[in-house]
Amino acid sequence: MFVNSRWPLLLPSFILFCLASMVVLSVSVGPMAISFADSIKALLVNWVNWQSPVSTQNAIVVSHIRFPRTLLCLSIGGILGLTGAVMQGVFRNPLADPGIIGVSSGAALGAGLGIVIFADLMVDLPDWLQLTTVSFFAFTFALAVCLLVYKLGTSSQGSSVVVMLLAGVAISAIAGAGMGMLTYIADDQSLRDLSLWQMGSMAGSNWISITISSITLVFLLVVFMSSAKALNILLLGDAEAVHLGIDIVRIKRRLIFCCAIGLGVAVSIAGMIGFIGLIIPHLVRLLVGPNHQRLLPLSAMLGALLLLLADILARTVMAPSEVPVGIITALLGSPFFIILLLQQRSKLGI
Amino acid sequence: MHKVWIGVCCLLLSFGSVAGERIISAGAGVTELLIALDKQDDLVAVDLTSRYPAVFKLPVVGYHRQLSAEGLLSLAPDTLIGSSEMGPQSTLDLLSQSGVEVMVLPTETTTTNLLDTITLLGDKLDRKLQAKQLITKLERDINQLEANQRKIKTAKKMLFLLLNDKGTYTAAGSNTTAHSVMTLAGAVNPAAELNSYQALSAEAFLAMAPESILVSGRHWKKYQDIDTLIAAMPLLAQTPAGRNKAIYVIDGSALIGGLGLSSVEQAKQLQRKIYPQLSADLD
Repeated sequence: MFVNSRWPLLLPSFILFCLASMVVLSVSVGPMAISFADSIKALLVNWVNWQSPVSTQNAIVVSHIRFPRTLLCLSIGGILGLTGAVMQGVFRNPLADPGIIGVSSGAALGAGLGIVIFADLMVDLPDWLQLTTVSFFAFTFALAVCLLVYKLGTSSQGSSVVVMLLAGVAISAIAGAGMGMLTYIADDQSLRDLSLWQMGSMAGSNWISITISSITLVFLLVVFMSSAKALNILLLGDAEAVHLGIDIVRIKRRLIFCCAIGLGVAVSIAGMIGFIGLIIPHLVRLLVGPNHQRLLPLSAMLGALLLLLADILARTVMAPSEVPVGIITALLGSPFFIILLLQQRSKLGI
Repeated sequence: MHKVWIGVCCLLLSFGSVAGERIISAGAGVTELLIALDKQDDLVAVDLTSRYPAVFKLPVVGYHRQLSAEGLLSLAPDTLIGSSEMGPQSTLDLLSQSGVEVMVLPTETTTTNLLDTITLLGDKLDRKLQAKQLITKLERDINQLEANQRKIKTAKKMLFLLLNDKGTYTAAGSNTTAHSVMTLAGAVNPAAELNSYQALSAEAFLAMAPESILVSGRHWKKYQDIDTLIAAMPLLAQTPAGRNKAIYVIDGSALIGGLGLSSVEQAKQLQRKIYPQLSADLD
């Protein structure tokens, strides 16, 4: 009902328009009362060196706080939506979320180690290194889990996605045990840091994280879009895909690996942000059907849109303090999803 | 004529608000000191842990390690004061860039650190007189406590226990405010080898053989009397503390945010209770 065959670009353009408006909203709304015109001016001052009567404080708030966060939300939300869509396609499982192969738990364990054990050791390091300790550990562990799952799933007899999936479950359990141990030995301070990290936050945005996540998003989009047709064929079933000439083992391995990398980047930068990867692809499927050529880009866009909206709320609802964004994405996404689910049960094409 | 009066009133009111500095306090210990230095009227916001009656109506800026830069800036502060645990660093950097003075105070659970912090705050906030009075009083208290400590021949073994529903024996090791309070009061902490709060195994707990147990008032509310507590934590009956029913209650808020003014006060009360013969030497 939402796909208009005469104007196939109607829905994407509409979502793109929403996204653009949300970006403008995100830059102009916050606990600081800065007028709409002033925020736009402050942004322009930063970009085109245009002299205007905006106070330095407002300029800092807009160009150093709001704008980087907005960009980070776009790329992280995009990655989460995209990887979720691909994972559900690869595993043909509506409950698959990007964390299913254990990458998120691995990243969480890494971050936990960074927070609880290495925080004390890192005090002597230069500031910029300290800031990235947790992200670094999270990403290293995500990558390690990724390689381990890949390795476990591949043997001399070939490669098995089921083994990869089960290995992911087992690794999640091990990481869970490690997290439990860390929670047990952590002092009050790091315990609190640990639990806050698990709820996700976009506050750690800086130009390094924005660059890394944007490059990852573009890379994933290219890889996944080139596999979109294969993903469509995979929906028919593994046997059918093989008969149609798809090397399913190779393509699944490649897709899972890329998802894991993307998720590792997202989690190490923003912490655990749930529900986007799980819900957004379903939402898009309800809107446009299961064709991955449309599903993938729209999942990325809607993922970015939801995260952006969640972050605006996170920054403003409890101002001057901030709510962890992971709580808001769950609160915002789930009820909306339930309503859609009840309305269009039959259209869920998976 | 009316307009003139209104104008004059507005002028006076605006002077009133200009004169005061706008301070945000991030940390229970810091807030406590600011109130003691009579600076609570200049406070515009506090963090989650600073829940004192005097600042109850102020906006809360969240947890002091997760401060939101824009959230703080929206309160137009002149100064942000917090402990070295305050963060994240990116927020502090942004605040300094926007012209907010960020004061980071050291956090250690020692009395010297507390006195130094008061002097520092007094100098910075133009409250030298109040700081001096506060220090004189604190030094007298601490000196009395320490003089009494020397008179104690055999110090009592006291363990601080965090009571919870699971019935685990979680004790305060060194580097905790509870440890400092007990030491100040002249008790020996058998769990001093441990760092921070740690769960003890049943045997380790029995081996420590505490002669008295210190618990937080908030947890104590649930039990109210010693027999109920022993029923919930049966191992307690096997320790000297359980046999003599030597359980003391401390105000839990004095244990949050490092060694503060209320911690010293609690140490005095504790010393009075465990060494009644020395209480004459305390104010």
